[in-house]
Amino acid sequence: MTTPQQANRRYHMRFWPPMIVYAALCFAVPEVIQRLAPPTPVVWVLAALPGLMIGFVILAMGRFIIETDEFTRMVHVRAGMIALGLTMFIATTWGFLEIYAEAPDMPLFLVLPLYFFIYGPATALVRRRYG
Amino acid sequence: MKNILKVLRAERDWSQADLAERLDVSRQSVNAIETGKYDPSLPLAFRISRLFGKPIEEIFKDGAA
Repeated sequence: MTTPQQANRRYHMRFWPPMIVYAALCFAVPEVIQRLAPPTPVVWVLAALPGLMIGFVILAMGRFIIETDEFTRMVHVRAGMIALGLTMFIATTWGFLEIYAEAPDMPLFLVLPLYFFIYGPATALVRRRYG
Repeated sequence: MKNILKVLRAERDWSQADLAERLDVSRQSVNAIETGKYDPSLPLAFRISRLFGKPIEEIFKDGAA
């Protein structure tokens, strides 16, 4: 059986490597792609690499929720649902604003940072409610 | 759901962290259960019951009972 401490350790071990690579790729990929224009299949692969790293980050979060204790799981699932709901609400509303009110385009890659931006306070809120 | 976890813990002079370690849960979990803000699952309730050597219904009091 995994203890919450072990689950925490594994989470950090799984979360930070892809997150660091992601941050590095955010700077490196545009530099490389600039030299490869016009778009080729290689550019497509390079452009998708940061997203792949975020896939690993999401997997790390999923594994943490499975491996941690039941109370912590409940806190993170609730916080995740709050963040997911608000993110979808904001993204959808902004999409309509772009179509009908000429709001500036919101790049799709900002959806995940928006989710994390809400997820942090949501976790604190749920924890306060229960403890 | 009310419970006597805090009393049982005090009788053994255990901190919340001590109990959390024995149950393989986080200290926050113990605190949430003790204060009645979170009801443990049946498997965790059984672990608590075994640890203190008391039946579940003696540790946890259902409001309807």
